[in-house]
Amino acid sequence: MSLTRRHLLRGLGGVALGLPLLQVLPRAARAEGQFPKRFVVFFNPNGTLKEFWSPQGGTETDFVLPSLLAPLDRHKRDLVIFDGVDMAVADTGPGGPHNRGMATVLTGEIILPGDFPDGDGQTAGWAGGPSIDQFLADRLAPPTRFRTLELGVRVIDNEPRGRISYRGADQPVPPENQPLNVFTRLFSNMDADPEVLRKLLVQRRSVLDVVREDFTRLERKLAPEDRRKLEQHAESVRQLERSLSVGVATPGGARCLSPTRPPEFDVTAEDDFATMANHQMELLAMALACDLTRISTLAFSSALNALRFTFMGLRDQDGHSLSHAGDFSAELQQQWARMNVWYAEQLAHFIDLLKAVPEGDGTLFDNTVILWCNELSRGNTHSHSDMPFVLAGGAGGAIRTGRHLVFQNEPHNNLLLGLCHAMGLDDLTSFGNRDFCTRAISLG
Amino acid sequence: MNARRTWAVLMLTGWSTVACEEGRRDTPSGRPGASPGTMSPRPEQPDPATAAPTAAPLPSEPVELPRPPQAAEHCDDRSLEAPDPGPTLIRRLTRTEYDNTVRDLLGDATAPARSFLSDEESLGFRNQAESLQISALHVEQYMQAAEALAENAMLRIEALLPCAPAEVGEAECLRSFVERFGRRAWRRPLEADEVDRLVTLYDAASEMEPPRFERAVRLVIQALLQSPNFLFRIEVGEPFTVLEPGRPAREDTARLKLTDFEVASRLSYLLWQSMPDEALLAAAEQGRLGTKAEVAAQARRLMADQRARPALLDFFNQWLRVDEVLEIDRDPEWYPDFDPAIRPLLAEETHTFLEALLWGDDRDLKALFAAEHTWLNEALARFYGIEGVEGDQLRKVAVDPSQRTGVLTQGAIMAVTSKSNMTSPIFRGQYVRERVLCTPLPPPPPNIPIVPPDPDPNSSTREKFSQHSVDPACASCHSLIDPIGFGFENFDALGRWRTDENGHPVDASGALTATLDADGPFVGAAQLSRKLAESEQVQRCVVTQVFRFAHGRGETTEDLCGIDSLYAAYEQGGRDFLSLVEHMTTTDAFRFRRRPPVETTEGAP
Repeated sequence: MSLTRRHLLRGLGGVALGLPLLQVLPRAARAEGQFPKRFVVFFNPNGTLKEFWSPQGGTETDFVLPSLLAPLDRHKRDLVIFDGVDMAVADTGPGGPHNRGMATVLTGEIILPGDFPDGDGQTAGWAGGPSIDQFLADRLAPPTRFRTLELGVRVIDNEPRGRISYRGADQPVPPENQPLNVFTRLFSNMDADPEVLRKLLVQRRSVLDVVREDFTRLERKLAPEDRRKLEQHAESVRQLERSLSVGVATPGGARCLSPTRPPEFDVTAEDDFATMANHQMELLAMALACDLTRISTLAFSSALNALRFTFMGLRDQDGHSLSHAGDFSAELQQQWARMNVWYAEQLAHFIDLLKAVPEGDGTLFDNTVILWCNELSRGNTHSHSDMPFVLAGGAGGAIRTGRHLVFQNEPHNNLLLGLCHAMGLDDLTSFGNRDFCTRAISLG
Repeated sequence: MNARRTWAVLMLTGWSTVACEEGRRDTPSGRPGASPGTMSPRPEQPDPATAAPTAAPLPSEPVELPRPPQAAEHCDDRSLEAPDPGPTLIRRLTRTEYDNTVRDLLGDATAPARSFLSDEESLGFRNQAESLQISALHVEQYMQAAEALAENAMLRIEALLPCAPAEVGEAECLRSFVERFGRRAWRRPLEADEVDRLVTLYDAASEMEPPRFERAVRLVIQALLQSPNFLFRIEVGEPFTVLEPGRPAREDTARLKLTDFEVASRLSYLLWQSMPDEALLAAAEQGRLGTKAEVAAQARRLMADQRARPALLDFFNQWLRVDEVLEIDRDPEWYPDFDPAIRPLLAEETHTFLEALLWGDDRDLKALFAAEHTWLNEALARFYGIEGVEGDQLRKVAVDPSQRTGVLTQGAIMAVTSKSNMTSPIFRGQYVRERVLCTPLPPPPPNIPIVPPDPDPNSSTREKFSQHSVDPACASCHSLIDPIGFGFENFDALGRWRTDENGHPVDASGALTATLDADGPFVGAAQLSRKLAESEQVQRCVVTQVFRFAHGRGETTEDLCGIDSLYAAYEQGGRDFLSLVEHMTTTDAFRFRRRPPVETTEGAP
């Protein structure tokens, strides 16, 4: 059994220690492999205000979090904060900067042309390749009931600016916005009679066996471009079949409890945005604790959203408008800053939830890495330079946290590649568009 | 995938248009390998010198706009005789289509698709083949829905069964059920091996909870409803022979003819957003959907049915964004008298107006923009400040044509193109550009600070947006948008008439620019609407939008000649929407599909 954090703490007389001591341990001594690694994407749109975001001065490991990141202070030792990472691949291809940023941020691929009127005489399409969450799921093939889980909070724009996760080129994966649906999907069977579930499984399998034959038949008849649509459907059915046979497992004694059943929301309601977010985070934390999934994305609304934080009393301007207001109005910039602080609070809260789940001698959070990202760097310039990326969690010791890393013009594909390495795909040499991937950012 | 629309670069010369930053795509400063060591550009604070109004307009630069709808060129005899039907993709049922289909198939009105993931939207429509996806979550939802629908069907099993299992034997009866019900579910007769496969579920049912026969029927329904044959409108087509005078008959190598069953589904989903009825299936079975006349006759029959109304109105709903008014909210600080109860009434006003226009006596679609009446009840009239209307029933009411004409001046449209606390000349101008002129504007270029104004009692909305026309960074695009939007300033953010705004008199003068035939100044939305109604570009845009909705895809260069002749028929028919739709069902794009390239067989070099 490898040396875990809790062991170490006990060994030193139970004194609460920060991570630095742990970090000097050789990689092999950490809890890698004992518990599954989890990968979570935390997304919010329209850029931020990096002048109030980037730690100023200090050193790589000794720095102060500025106001927009201040809510994360209690987790500072568990973060990696990036400056100087550019998303140049989002400055290429058709469509506007929001759409290009959305299609690029997790894929590292150039956006495809499509039918979404957007700009520059060209219409935006979907992303040009798989997003990192889907890519990891393909490569790692986690044996969980849900291969991945896509959650949204008021992601009501069903077009490229509302999608971050992609199964492959041209195949956006939509998020579920309704917490009650997530609950039903994940947890409604947990307390069911196992015999009833077994019968249901037999029945569903026999039905899907018949359906599967339809794909084989049709594939021979259809035109190539139609086959692509059909293949996407067939793959989803195969995934459903696999997921049906996986029950709820509890890895390493983590505490897996069915969360309380959320009420049904009008998922478009601005007033309920914070409440819905809270439910989605709780459901996601428990889905990870119960090992229902290991890979997930959580998107807070869409790029170019028409979302006001009415629950905070910000009724005048929506987030996208505020993101543009910045430099000309101190008051509006203040409001935009408050929205960004709120997002940081959500991440801090979500980290709390994961830290509250014991896993072996540590917590679920120890075996997780959260990628916090945005499709823009700054709203009122639509810039993709110097993107606001943050990692939270060490992915079972693979990532050395408590650091502020400053790069110059580092392509963000390099960060995505570094994350793939941290998740165990050590041999991977490139991620996304190769022209924009020059190396892996070493996170260890 | 590859055939995309053509685009034109419109050279805009004229007042106060200046360049957005040029070449921005070509110089990604952070591109790997490019000028190593350079600092990534930090967003800079705006230079007061450029942010402040500049007096002299700078030289203009091109802004790229989509090609406006216009007469197509090179539509020679060859392309008219055997036109390329354009790219076709199999189409997944939308949520509305799913619910309508299970209603007509099973008599089940539970509308399970309402809880499905929302349909992806593209080109302003929620029925575009390329965008509609089937993700893992979709198939879970399809499975749950199929199970619930099959269970509900047991309550009406007698009505579904073509036979009595006790009389003909369970296995035999199940086979007839699969054949009969499958033909309706998949909208074509099942092939023998498909029937055999589904009948095997009778064996599977033997190991399950009895009664076995009912169990098997449930499984069959579940399997049929989760099949791609149900969830997609599958089109395979069939080869056909071309007959030309003086030439030997030959097989068409470029196109396939849709089978009669495939045509039946195209008709029913276009006109009913649902499955074909028995008469349509029977016509297909008897080979009576092969000619233009036969297709047109069925189209007329379907359009006379009540089911056609919601289906065809849905085109207008999506195109004109009418139903978005149901979701609007207003800032109590600026709109303290906003009552959410007005939302469904505003939608109903426009629905009723459209229905009366489409199915009424005077059907010229010019009236869509030029009508001098609307439909109101007492509550709506009070809302608009119009007197003399009583009761809950909506009725036709003449409006002051110097103030309001047509749909663009109705509350629903004015409200969905506003912000919660003020009107938006930008949203309104964009709406006209994108939906009515078919030339959407590019989004703001990167690295330009954009400041949306706030409501302010000390100035009018128009004044607050005036920065656009003087700021060089904004003007090149906003000169195409704002002068249209300003024309609507007599309507507040809920569509109520106003002549002053916070004590400032409203200036609703505006101008149309960069159109093919409607350029020029105007005062107020009524004048603007009349100009739009008379514009050929606008009428061609209407036809283009119908094409996109009907075919579930954007037009390509190969479609331009077809759309051209559609437009000709539309004008000839006095711009009657129903005639346009009927005509559309007889076009080659509706009845044929491209023949996929012959593939090399396995093992071939």
